[in-house]
Amino acid sequence: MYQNLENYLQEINHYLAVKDGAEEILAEIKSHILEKTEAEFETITEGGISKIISGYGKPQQVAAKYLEGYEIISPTFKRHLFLYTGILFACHLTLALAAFLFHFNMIVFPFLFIPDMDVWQFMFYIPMTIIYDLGLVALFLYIVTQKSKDARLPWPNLFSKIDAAKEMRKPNILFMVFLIFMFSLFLYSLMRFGTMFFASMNDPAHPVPMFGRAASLYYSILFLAMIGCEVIGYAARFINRTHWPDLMKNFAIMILLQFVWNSPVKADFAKIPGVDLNTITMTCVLIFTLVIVLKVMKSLVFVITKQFSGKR
Amino acid sequence: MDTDITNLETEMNRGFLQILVLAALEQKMYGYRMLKFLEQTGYTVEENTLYPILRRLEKNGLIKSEWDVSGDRPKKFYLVTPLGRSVRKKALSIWEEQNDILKKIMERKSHVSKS
Repeated sequence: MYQNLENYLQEINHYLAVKDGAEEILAEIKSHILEKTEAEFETITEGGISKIISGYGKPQQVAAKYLEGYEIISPTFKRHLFLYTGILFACHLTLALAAFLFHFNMIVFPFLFIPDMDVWQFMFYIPMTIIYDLGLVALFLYIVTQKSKDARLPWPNLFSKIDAAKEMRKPNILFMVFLIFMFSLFLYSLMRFGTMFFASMNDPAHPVPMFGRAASLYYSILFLAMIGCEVIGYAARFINRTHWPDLMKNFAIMILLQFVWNSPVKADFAKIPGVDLNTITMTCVLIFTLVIVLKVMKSLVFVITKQFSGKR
Repeated sequence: MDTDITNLETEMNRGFLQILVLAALEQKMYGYRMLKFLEQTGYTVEENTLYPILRRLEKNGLIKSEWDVSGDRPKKFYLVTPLGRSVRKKALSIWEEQNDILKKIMERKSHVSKS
């Protein structure tokens, strides 16, 4: 029993991540070192063993030679690692943003937990999200590599095709005019009647507002600001035909929607027999919010995917 | 430059050593004995390189092994298998072909430089 030899073998064993046969490998190395020591020094001593060990190599290097050809993640998946992480992060970030703005929790056990956060928690949550997403994708690619190194993983060329097509398409000047017209119409309505939302327009000169005075003003200004974002976002496409203007526009609308959901003004709906204005309005706002959240997610995925797809 | 040569030599040795081992193991040998045998022929191989190659060849069925525990200490003996022999034969013909190609290229190069 030679302690330095045992320590050396133990350290090799620590790095020797082989499925089976580790004991046999170590037995062979041990036999070799003892034989060489005896051949070179005639008798086996710890001093002699130490000299032979130093010539045999550092434990980590010795173990690494047995692991040649064994990959944790195949190098061919390097681009997938970043692309998939980007897509996952885009979705994760959008959901976290929605949870932060609209104050809700989300659990998709065991992969996802997005709590309702304050601004500081949200700031700390984002970098953790990137690390988590990278880890999750790395785990997925590790499993794929272990199953089959030659596996063909999907590469979402679709995104770049759609993206390219959208970039080619010029924004329509007529639609731009229509948007400006709508904005002007709503602005006129706000200035004339103090609201853009009406419960009844039977008498065009005196329409019945949907809410009380304060709520009418509050929600009308928010809605007008959203149309304003739409106008600016569409106009920006004349200069920049990427997904960035869309992303910025939808992000701004999402922030404005946050003020709808967390309104300090009570929405006192007008009473119309047989019509539940509250439920109808809330359903519409909910659907609109979902659409905007999905649009933000889509734009973010496009923006991130383009970074990788374009370089392929 | 030296690093380039070392890297190239390592790459070239990777395949060559496998053929060499398959040739040497026509007779039963254990690791240390094989190192000495190769040294006598003028080929030096790092001991920590030889054993992983032996393991890989064994895993692929090109050589087989058995432990001999009758002596002072246990020794793992290796011997080439029929599959190993046929792979060696193929590998040698590939190596000869490559050698011929290289010779042709080098000869042509010397003709061009003379003219």
